[in-house]
Amino acid sequence: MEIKGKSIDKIEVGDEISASKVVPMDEGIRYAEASGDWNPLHLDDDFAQMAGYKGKITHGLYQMAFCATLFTDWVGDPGRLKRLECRFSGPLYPGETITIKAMVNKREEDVLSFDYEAENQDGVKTITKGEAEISLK
Amino acid sequence: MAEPKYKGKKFGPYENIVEIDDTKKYAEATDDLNLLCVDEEYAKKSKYGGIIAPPMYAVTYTVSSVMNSFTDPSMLEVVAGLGFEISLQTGVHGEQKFEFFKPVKPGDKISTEVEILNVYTKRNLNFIDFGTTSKNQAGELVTKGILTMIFRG
Repeated sequence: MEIKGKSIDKIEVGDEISASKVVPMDEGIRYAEASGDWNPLHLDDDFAQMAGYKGKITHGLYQMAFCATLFTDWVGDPGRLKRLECRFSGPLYPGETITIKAMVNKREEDVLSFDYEAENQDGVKTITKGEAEISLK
Repeated sequence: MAEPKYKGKKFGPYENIVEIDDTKKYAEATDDLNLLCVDEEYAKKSKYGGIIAPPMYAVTYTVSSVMNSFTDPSMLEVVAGLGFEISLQTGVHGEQKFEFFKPVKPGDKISTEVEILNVYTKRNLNFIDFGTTSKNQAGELVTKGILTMIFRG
């Protein structure tokens, strides 16, 4: 994953890290098989359209997993994710680009806290109220 | 109408065995190439002594436990009193919180207890906060979560 932003030793409160990726067209089936989340909103265009969407939508938890990977890749071993939370605010469709932007809001000796959001290529928020805590050791 | 009397009602525990193929599959499906999760030789030399699951693998044992609680006979009693249906067809995952206490490894047996933390109505939508507490086979806390589902009335 290509992560933009400062490294652990240089990052300060107010600094941002970010990463983007295109959601694969087969995200729905791949994530369902891996997670056991077979909600038809993520697998069936007709079902999703009846629920008011343009078509099947990306699992919110897939987006959240991308956020988790941003933090774990950035901190590296032996750091680890202590806490991760978010609100799934809007649909993201397969083939769209997701960008996560995370800003440091607190730096303690061994723990960094972030606020984060995710949006699609048009700037529409798909994840809001994101919070993460990372242990540096 | 949402009834606060269901607050604190517990379901489970539901058991999940962690298989190495499943943790790797989760890592691959989410493009998580962390060597601790996918490279056995690298992971063996780490402080964990072997492969660990990606933190968000917690989804597999927590969401499935919440889904299993939907068909628990005592949940059916809850649903009868709520006045709205609890199902995948009427529900949307609104929010998720996880706290990670201990890494989960292949071979672990994870037991997850589900608890109704809150039931409320906003903007004509019904919300339920399901708390999840997951422990490994040694009784050690591995993950705590709150899964907020939104159900149409």
